[in-house]
Amino acid sequence: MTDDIFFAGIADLNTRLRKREFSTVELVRAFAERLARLGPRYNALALPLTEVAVKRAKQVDDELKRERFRGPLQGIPFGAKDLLAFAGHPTTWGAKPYAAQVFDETATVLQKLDKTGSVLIGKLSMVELAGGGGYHTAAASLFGPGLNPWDTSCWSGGSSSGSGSAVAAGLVPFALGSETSGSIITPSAFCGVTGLRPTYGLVSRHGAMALSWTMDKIGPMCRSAEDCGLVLQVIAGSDSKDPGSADKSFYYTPQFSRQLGDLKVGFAPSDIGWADAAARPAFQAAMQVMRETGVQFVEVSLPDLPYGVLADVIIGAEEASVFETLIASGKVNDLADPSQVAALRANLEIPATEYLKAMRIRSLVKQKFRELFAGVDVLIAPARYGTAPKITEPLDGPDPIPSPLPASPGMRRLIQAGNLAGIPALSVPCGFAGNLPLALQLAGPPFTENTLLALGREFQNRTDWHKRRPPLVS
Amino acid sequence: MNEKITRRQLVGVAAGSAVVSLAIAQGPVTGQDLDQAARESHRENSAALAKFEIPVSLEPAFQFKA
Repeated sequence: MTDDIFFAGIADLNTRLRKREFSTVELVRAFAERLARLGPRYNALALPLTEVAVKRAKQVDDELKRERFRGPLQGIPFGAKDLLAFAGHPTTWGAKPYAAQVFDETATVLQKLDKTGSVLIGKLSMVELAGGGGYHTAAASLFGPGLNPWDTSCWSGGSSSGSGSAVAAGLVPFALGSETSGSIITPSAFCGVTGLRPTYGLVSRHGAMALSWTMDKIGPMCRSAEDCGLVLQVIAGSDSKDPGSADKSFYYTPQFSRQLGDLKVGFAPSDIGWADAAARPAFQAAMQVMRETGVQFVEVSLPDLPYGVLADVIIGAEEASVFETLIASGKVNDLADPSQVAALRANLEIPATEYLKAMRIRSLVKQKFRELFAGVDVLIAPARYGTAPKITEPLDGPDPIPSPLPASPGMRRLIQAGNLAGIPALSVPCGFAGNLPLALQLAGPPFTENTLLALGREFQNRTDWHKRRPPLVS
Repeated sequence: MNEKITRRQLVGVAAGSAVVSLAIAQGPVTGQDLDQAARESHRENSAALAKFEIPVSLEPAFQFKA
């Protein structure tokens, strides 16, 4: 096997498995060995599962020999963020107080992937408690700071840090991440991979660590929009064990998506002014490529609502309830980041009336987004307005204020706003600033993942940013 | 538009700005300082929410469905 295998797409790998160019066992062993060898270089590996994976791969090979085909994910290795329970094995939630935690049930998404013949080869590192109380430093993890394969002095993003690094470095063909307010979009953007945050409720969270019951989502982080569609089709669907389940399925049908010429794409011209100066040329060029797909660009602005405050209060109140026992026991002090400890303790004091007021204003967020999407089909903005920060930089420093100051706030709060509204978003790599990746974010109304994926796929047909490989491992 | 800078805006899930300003103003901070800063962040959030007027008929986003 050549190194190209480690950067191949899901459909390509599956075709080659079916042609018996290599077996599932060979493929799984190759990825598992690479993940075990290179994963620690990026602090990306939480738990290798090579032995279990090879055993499962043998069963998949038997099925393939009998021509029992289960779809494009059959035989494909993958990694999962370490907040997803895998029965009988440690699930640490990235946090020292839970380092020895073992569940006796496997998360629904992992069961679904297993049924289709995908093979879990390792659990991937994450920010402790998925960022729970708020973190000050990239080192806020049981596994150390997530290191970016494009520059290991820089952060991989969080909280799905290991998922971002592992996909970028070709250690897994795809990974599962989770997002409450940016945890798929951010590491996908910083690591140069394609990440999809599904509509709230489309993918079951049963067996996943809860951070915020009303905002948590699980989604794929892959090499391309195409791969995100293939993975989402498997992991989406109704689950009676998840109270937030939307009771909807997802079928990846790009062939039936709307003509791009019919799509209205909302953008904010001031976004370029908010981007880091070094990132602006790449964003401008990427927006031009988007225009050339034939979509109609329409100027819009985000509804004027206090997204940051709402996210703080809602996530803060819900996480304080989730982790009340941890906080009361004092074990919260074992977390790596003292900022998280302080915030979690303080969050216990958020009054119920304040939480409810935030949730009432959140109803307005939903309403305003419905109105916004009456005029456009997709929103487009930089996923992050700059590249990954150095791991030594505090993560909670104030945003740089550009000069001249842009005339309007643009879409800078789209990640928070989109998470509050529960809408889907896709992060697609769109260029570089220096040696670090940049990405665009596409967001749409609830359950329009196929539209976002179709536009993302067309963008990736016209560019090769998603095919670039980090220098250390290419 | 809310222009309050919080660390959520940079790292996805995070707390308020008071810790940052405190760290910038005073350098290394103690656990007590961080507790105080977290509470200050809550006060800022409370003040921002208090300013926001909503109709009495507006219900919270329970059971939240997108």
